[in-house]
Amino acid sequence: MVKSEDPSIVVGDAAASKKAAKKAAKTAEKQQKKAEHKASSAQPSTESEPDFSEGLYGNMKMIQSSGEHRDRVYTDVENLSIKMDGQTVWVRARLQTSRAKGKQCFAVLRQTSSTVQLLVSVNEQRKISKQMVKFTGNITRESIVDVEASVVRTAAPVESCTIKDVELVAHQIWTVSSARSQLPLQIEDAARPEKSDEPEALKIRVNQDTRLDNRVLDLRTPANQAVFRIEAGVCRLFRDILTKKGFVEIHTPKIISAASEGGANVFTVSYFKSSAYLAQSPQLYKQMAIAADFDKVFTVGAVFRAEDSNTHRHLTEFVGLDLEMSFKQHYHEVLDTIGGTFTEMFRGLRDQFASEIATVGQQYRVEPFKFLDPPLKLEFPQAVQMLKEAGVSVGDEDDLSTPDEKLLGRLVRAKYDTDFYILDKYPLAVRPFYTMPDPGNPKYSNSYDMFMRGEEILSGAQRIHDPDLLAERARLHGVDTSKIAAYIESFRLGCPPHAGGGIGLERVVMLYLGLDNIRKTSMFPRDPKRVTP
Amino acid sequence: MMYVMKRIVDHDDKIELPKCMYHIKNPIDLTEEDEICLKINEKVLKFIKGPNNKMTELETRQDELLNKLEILYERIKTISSQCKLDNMSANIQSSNASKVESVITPEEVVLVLSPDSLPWYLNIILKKSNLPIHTTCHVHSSVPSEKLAKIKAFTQKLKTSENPKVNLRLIFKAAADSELKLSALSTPILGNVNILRYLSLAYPTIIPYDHNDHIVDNLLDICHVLERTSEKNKEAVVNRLFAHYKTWIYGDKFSVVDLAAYNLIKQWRNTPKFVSKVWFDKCEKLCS
Repeated sequence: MVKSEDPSIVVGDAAASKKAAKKAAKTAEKQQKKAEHKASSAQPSTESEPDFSEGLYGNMKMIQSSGEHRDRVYTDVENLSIKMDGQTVWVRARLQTSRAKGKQCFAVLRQTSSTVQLLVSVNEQRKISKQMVKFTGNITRESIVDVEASVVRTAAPVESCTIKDVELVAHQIWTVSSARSQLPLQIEDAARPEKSDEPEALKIRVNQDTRLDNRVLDLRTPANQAVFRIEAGVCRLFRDILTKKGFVEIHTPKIISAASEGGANVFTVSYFKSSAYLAQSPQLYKQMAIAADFDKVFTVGAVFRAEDSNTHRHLTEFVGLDLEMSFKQHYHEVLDTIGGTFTEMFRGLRDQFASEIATVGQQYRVEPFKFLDPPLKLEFPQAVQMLKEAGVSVGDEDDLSTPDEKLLGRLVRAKYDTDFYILDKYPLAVRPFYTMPDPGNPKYSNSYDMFMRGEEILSGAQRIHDPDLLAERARLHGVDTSKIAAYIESFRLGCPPHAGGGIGLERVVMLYLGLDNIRKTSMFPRDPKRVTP
Repeated sequence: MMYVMKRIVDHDDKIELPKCMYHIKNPIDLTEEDEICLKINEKVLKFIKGPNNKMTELETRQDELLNKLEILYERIKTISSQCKLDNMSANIQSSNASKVESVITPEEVVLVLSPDSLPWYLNIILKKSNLPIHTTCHVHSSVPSEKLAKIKAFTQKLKTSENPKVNLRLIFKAAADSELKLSALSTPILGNVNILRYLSLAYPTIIPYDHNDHIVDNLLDICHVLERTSEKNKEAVVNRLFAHYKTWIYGDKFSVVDLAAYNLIKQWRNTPKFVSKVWFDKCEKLCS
């Protein structure tokens, strides 16, 4: 729309106001021409025949649950098929695009990930008038419409829709909720594949910030619908697999009085007259639940990390899936349980969400996820040896840096052809104070990390359950024992040996699908620069 | 003059015409550059030849070190000759074997196999090797669930030992040609026959392989072809393979060719009539 601004006349600036006046004159001319054109085009419709499809189309009255049409049965777009050829159905879907030309209007209706073609053509017998066709052409994109139509087999398959073998021929069309005419982004652009094979294809893409600012629109694309359904699947599989193994779900508090992992990265909240912190991890509470005789627990909840990291894989708030388990003799009992849970989860995703994974693959082309059963377990010295062969030297008591981890991931993939592996026996010096040292070699610890596609997803260990050893390790690490007195005290009441670990839901989905940014798998992501929507 | 104007274009500048048509460099002249070069050369020579204390110190130290090395060398020579006299008789064989085995014993070996190509030759190695081998088996995500039972039946019978010197990992992957990987960076050994060639180098006493006999290599190549040939041609190829057959496929001793052929024929569901049952049973006994 051309906006005409009144030129502000500054005394003495004759040249400027002359230009502004010229501009104003031009815009006024344009507007006048537009009005004339509209008037002339509006005239034929008022002169045309009476509208015989009255009562079959229009804007529906706002649905306030007044009780009308409760007997109407709606069909889902994904269920439309050749078997329904000839039947009349009611469909509620979004109008994705419409194209009107004279006596016909082609539209595409979309419901979650399925699209179908809708045809509205002037027909006296079926009482479809020109005005109805025009109305359909004028419905704004992304409006929700109710359509009564007959399912008709198409002569040639419709390539641009997911339902290819049938189309809908409309009898009635009503707008349930219209969208505004200028949308901040087009769903077609947001859903366009990242890399297209055809040289003629349009190159318009929507940038990530625009997507996140208009998340409601962006989430409607088929790829995003699939991603979040897969995320829901991961959470459900995690719960189901662990519950079958005898785990109990618990919910731990998120407002805590002292930082658990390390003092620096906590959010502070004002808590009545003093302050409290948002939980960095449910670590302490999981262990207290084990000491409280719950044996095997898991928890799904929000985790808050105040790290000022603006990277592709960090968020300030994410969903953590944590588990803790007591064992009889060796912490490998827990390690094998966690590894087995992952393998079952990957298998469940591969079998139950194959179509969603394919939908994501259409927009973001990615290789399928490979894994071994039982999962590959390597020891830290072995990994150091593999890196040494490749020319990267890592000290005996050093942690692996991110590039080291990525290189190791590629080496493991080349040798064992797996995207998921476990690295056991990390050096003690780089682990938190509550990690149990290795009995055979004091430089190493009973701790492990798990990697997907070369990036770390889980960090876990056998925890120290002896209060004296725990206090000594805390002192060695320079942790103030007075602040964790309650934590140490809980071990003085008898605690079984236990181990566990935690994963980030968004990171696991991102790495399973092979996406490049964690904001793609978080519905409303939070990072140091984003707090809305 | 009516109007006096400033001169815009000046044509009065003097144009210098060249006096010399072609200018050539004087070939005889000793130019200044060479003189500078000479001066630097002199300085460098002075520097090198001059009395330099640090250099001489280094030289003397080097000489001393060389003398010490010579003394050490003499000592080692005497010690080794003494050792040789002690151990000569008893340990020739084991030293040979351990020499070979210590040359090719990587800590972790990965063997990628298709579930349709199970490694029956492993049994004979696991039975007879004097280095303890620890085997772990993994199933890749690409394997369909129908093949799992077959893989499980095979892996349950594999022997594995604790306190191993060598870790062997078997990865069963769908539609894969057999691969033996020793490290992530080196090229893998492809094909069962080639893997057997490598294994016979690592275990020469268990799997005899005469490198110099070209007929053996020819027979091994026939095995390789047999693995990839269609059903129709199998009989013809097998007949070629058994052309020299008496008690064993080649010669009168068990060799790598027998092992390769047995491993391949065992994958087939039914041993066909054109394969000698006597020979097959003999191999089966060795490898179970």
